[in-house]
Amino acid sequence: MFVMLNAFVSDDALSGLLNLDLSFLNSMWFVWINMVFIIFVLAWLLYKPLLNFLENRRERIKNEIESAAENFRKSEEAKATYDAKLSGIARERDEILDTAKKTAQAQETEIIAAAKNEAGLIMERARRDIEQEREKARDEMRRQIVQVSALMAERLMGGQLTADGATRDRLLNQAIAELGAVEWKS
Amino acid sequence: MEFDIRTIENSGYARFYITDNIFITLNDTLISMWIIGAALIALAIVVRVKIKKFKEVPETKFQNIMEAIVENFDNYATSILTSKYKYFGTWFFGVFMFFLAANLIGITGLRNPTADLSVTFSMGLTTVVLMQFVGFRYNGIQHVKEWFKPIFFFAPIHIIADLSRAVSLGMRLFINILSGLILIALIYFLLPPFLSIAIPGALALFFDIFIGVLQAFIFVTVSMFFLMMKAPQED
Repeated sequence: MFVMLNAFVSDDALSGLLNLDLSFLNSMWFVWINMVFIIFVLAWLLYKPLLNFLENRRERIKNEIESAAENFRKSEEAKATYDAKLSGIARERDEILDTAKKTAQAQETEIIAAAKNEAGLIMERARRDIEQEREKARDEMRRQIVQVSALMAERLMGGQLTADGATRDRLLNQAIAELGAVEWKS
Repeated sequence: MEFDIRTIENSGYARFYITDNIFITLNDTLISMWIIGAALIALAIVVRVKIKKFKEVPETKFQNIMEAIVENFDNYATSILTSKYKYFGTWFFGVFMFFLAANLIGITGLRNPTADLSVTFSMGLTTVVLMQFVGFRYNGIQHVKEWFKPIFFFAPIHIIADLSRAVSLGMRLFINILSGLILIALIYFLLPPFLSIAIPGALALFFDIFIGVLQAFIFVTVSMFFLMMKAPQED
C-alpha cells in the first residue's frame, strides 16, 4: 500500500500518467516485449498442453462410449439371432410332431383298411367253402336218393333191371342229370 | 549499444539508455510485471511437468482447478470466436491470465501493471494488429476496400476508427484499475487512523478482486469481438 502511495503523492508521478511523451513510448515497447513473452510462455506451456490433454480425454471417452454402444448393439443382435433360432427350433419340433402324427394316422387307416380287406377275403373264402360243402352234400344226397330209388325200383321190378347192368347205369345217370337241372329243394 | 544508468529526479527510478531516445525505465510497473511473469511462468512450468502425472479422473485440486480454468476459457473463446478462429483463444488465454494476475496483484500492495497506460495501450494496439491480420488473411483485398467506402477520402476516418479500438480497450482497463488505486489511496488518507485499515481493505477487495477480474474478462471478451468484426460475415 505504501509503495503505491508514494507513486502518487508526488506531482510528477501523477502528471506523467497520461503523457504521450518519449518516456511513455519507451515504456511501451519494453513492456510489450515483456508481456508478449509472458503470454507466449503461458500459451505454449500451460494452455496448449492442457487443452490437448483435455481434448485427448474427451476423444477417448467418446470412443469408449461409442464402442460400448457398438458392443451393446452387437449383443442385442446376437440375442435376436438366438431368439429367432430358438423359436425356429420350437416350430421345427411342432412340424416334426405334426408330420409324425399324420404319418401315424395314415398308417393306421391303411392297416385298418388292409385288415378289413383281409377279413372280407377270409369271409369270402369261408363262404365259398360252405358253398362247396353244401354242393358236395347235395350231390351226395342226390346220389343216395338215386341209389335208394334204384334199389326200390329193382325190388319192385324183380331184378329186371339187374339183367342188363350197363343199360341200368346209363339210365340212372341220365335221370340224375335231369334231376340236377331242376332246382333242388332240401 | 551501451547502458548508461542515470536517475530521474523526484522518482528515483533507474533508467537504462540504449541510445539518447531509446531507454528503459525500471519503474514499479516493470518490477510488478516481472514478479507476475515469474509466478505465471513458474505455474506454467509446473503444469507442463505435472501434466505427465495427470490422471484420467482428476484427483488433485491442482489438476481440477487448472482443468476448470482451461476448459471454461476454451468453451468461452470458442463460443465467441467460433471453431474457425479458435486458435486465437491461445493468445487470449495468455492475455487473460496476465491481466488477471496484474489486476489481482494489487492486493499484495504492489503496483498493478495495468494501472500503467503503456501496458494496456500496447495490448490494445496488439489487438488492432490482430484485427488487421484477420482482415487481410480472411478477407484479402476486400479488407483494404473496406477502408475506402463509401468514397476514398473516408480512409482516414476508417483508420482512426480502427485505432480507436486500441484506445478504447487500453483506456477502459487502465482507468478502471487506476481509479480503484486512487480511490483507495484518497480514502486511506481521509479516514482517521483507527478506521484506515478496515475500510480501505474492504475497498481493496472490491476494486482489486471484483473490478480486476471483471475488467480482465471484459478486455479479452471485447478484444475477441473486435477480432470477429473483421472476420468474413458469411460464416
